[in-house]
Parts: sequence; structure tokens; C-alpha cells
Amino acid sequence: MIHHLSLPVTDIKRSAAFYDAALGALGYKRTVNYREVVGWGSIDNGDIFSIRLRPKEKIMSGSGFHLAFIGRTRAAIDKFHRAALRHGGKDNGGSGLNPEYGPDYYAAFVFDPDGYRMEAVISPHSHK
Amino acid sequence: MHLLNHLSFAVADLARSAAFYDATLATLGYRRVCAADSFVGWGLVDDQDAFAIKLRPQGVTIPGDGFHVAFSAPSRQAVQEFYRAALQHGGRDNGGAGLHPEYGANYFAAFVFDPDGYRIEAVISIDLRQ
Repeated sequence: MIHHLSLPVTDIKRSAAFYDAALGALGYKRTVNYREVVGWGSIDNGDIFSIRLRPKEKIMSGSGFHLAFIGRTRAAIDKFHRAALRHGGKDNGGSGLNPEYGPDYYAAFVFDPDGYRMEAVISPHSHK
Repeated sequence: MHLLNHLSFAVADLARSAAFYDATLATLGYRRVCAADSFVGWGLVDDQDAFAIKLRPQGVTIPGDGFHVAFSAPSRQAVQEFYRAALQHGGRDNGGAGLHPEYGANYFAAFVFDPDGYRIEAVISIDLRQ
């Protein structure tokens, strides 16, 4: 349903390093690489997720915004969580089963360097 | 291989935004799959929302032009219907509906602002000759 998405970030190098590590853990790679725009996707598929440098952006605050990336295995979800914490992210709920969202809902929850709420989750799932 | 599983963002008026997304996302083939007092979600399967809005009446920080989200459209006609529905249900134009060869030879998209001012898009970019 979501074809692609871009997010404003205040420090492109910091965020690009974070997403290289976190999305790399899920098997995605950097596919777009400009001074003010960096994007990730899969081979020959263009960018599905990108960040754009907006140094003065007022970051969407509160818990309304969150974005979940697709992981393939529980090991990849755990790796995403570890990579995020090592590359400028903060924990927002650990990595593991979240039965309140579904019996097999395995996900990791982090804040990115700007404070955006990010998740990696095995798809398909039941989510509310 | 896709990358994004689901997205949510905050809105200031749930009824207003839900009406907007009911109208616009229906043109692309998506339907409301969950709803409560503080959120509404759309997708293809009950209780599996790929996109959701969450009520934050105390105030919403709307991102600038670095943010946009594009929804997948099943046809060019659907993109045009999305555009018309958006303008009829509280959205504003942000670039019309049509071909954008600067983004790809077959990039057909519509660009609008939702009722809060979020930049949203509907797009189909497949080669229709295939």
C-alpha cells in the first residue's frame, strides 16, 4: 500500500549512517546517494525509503508518527535493534514478541537519531 | 521485495482526516480495516492496517517538504480519481495529476496536501506496454 516515503532529517550523515546499519540488518541497501537525499531499497528497485536534509526541521513530536520496516526473520529483527542502538538510535521497547499486537508479532522498537519512532517487524502480522 | 510494513502519523481532527482518507484511499482500492476513538487504519485485510492516523488534538507538528508518503495506485485512472477525491474531501492541490518523466518514463502520480497539510501522493510507475 505504501509505495515510498521520505522523511526530513536534521543531520544527513548521522541519519544515513544509522539507516545504513539498521536497514542493512534487514537486508536492504543504499540505492540513492546525493548530498541532501539518501535512499534505501532493494536491487534495481529505486528507493522506497529516503531521508532528506532539512537542518531546521521541527521533528514530528509525540507518539502519533511511527514507521515499520519489514524484516524476514527474528534474527534480523534482533540485529536491527542492536544495529540501531550502536549507530545513534535509542531503545523504545526492545526486540521480541509483542502478543498484544498478535500471537506472532515479533518486532523491535527504536528511536532514530532525530527521535522518529521506528520499528522492524516480521510480515505478515496483525497490527492495531 | 518491499521494505515498508506500516506507517502512522498524528492528525488534529480524526473525523475530518478519516473522511478524507476513506474517500481518497478507496479510489486506490484500500478500505478501512480498523477504527477506535483515537485512530483509524486502512489496508486490505481486517485489523492489518498498512496506514493509520492517530488523533492528537492537543496539537500536531506537520513536517515540511522533506516529508512525503506515496500510496500505490492500481491504474492511471485511479490516480486521477484519487486526485479528484482529495480535492473534494478537504485536501489541496500540490502538483496536479499526470505523467512525471523526471521521476521515470512511466511515473504517473498525483500530489496533494491532506487536511492537516501532510504531503501525500498516489503513484503508478509500471510500463503499460508490458
